[in-house]
Amino acid sequence: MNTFHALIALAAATALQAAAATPADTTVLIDQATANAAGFPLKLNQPGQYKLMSNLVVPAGKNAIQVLSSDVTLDLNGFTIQSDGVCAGAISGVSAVVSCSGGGAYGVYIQSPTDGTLALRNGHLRGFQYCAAGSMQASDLTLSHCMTGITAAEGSLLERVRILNSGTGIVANGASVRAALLWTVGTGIQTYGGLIDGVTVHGASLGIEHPYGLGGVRLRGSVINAAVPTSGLGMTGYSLCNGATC
Amino acid sequence: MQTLRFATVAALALLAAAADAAPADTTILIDQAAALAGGVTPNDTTGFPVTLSKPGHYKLAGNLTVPAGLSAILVAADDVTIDLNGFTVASPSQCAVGTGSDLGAKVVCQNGEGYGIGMQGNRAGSTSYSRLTVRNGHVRGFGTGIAGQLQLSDVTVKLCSTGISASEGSLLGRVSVADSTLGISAYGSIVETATLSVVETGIRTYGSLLARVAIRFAATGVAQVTGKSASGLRNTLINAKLPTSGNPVLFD
Repeated sequence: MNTFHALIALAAATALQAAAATPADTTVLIDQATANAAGFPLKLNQPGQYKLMSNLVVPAGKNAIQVLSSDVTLDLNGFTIQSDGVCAGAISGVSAVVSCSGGGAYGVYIQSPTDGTLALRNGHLRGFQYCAAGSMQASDLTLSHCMTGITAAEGSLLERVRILNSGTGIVANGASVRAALLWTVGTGIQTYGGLIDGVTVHGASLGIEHPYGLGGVRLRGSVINAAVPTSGLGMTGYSLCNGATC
Repeated sequence: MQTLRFATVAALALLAAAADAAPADTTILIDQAAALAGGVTPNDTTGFPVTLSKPGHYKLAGNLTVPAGLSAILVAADDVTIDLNGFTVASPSQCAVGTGSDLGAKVVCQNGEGYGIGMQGNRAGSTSYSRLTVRNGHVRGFGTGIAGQLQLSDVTVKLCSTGISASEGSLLGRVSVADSTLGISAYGSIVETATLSVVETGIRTYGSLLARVAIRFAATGVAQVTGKSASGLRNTLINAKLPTSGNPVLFD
């Protein structure tokens, strides 16, 4: 028994040493199998890092991922979260007509403003009515076939996102949108109290909409090719609308 | 000792169970051997090009060396992400590269029509797959380096007839193209944080925003396609024989 106890003690000491030398990665990994097992929508209710390990195909009519905690980071890891919604879009000149149908209500979302904040990055979302929604820092994303691509709550920051073949690209109130590309959309960006910086809208019925007369919009260094490039008041900054200064 | 063996077996069983429960990474790794063997995805035959016919995440696990005139990777699916993982996709280049004292450049490439990374259907213009993401690596020595409806980041391209051919709806960031006949064609797109050096034409464009772009040694820096929506240039530095043609709009 003495030998046995000594071996156990040695093993425990080795394990502790290894644990001290190499911190454990607590990233929570998600794939189709774990998602199916948990059921849609997946609920992320603890702060931390989550990472996709496969595409997620979401059953018709279901939401994909609900964030219920602050300080959640979701790395799509190059994969796609997909529902069955489709948007039929066609460009004519600089205008576009887009009609969307089907799809689960939400892709990745925070239902209530008090529920949390989200960093969402590095992948694709497709075929939801609202592909991403909530207070977020979003980067390096491609969204398509969304009735609304991103609905960003106040304080959000969106960078390097492209939204293609969608009804409305971005709704961003009190948010910053930088280096966003919107192509074949009904409305490019609907915003108040926000900064729109370095954006291209190519093919839209309405490029940038400032709908409510609330908080001015700073539109800067952007290229807007749309049937109606901008609507509403309060847009300032040098941008290009259908080949002319906005 | 029997107790020790039982404890060890039990620990191993727990580890195995944990491994079974852990989500499997479905990222598909590609290296030279996998490319030559074929079967990377359904319809991928032996040798080059590697055909990617399923949406998802692909990652290089080594450099790819492609015979002259062939394509390296053709994408035949929507929503594909290719992480070059710091590696290089290369084919033997046949480019004659020269610069002039007038900041001009002449680059004649005879690399054939192969793509480093392309979207199947682009050439015929019939079947157009969409939304390709490529990041983090190098492409060298093809007819066209990277082509499609692209989201690019942290990519370098050299010694190609056309470096990057980005169709409408593309977003290119942190890219460089060098020693190529045409650096970037970008239509209805964003090119942000890019360098182009020793290219006959830096960027051919319409309806795009070009921001934080530096061009050094080019016969024409930025060529606006006539009869199409104007492009805007912002925070750009163009050292070329002819900095712009076709009147793109300078924001600042």
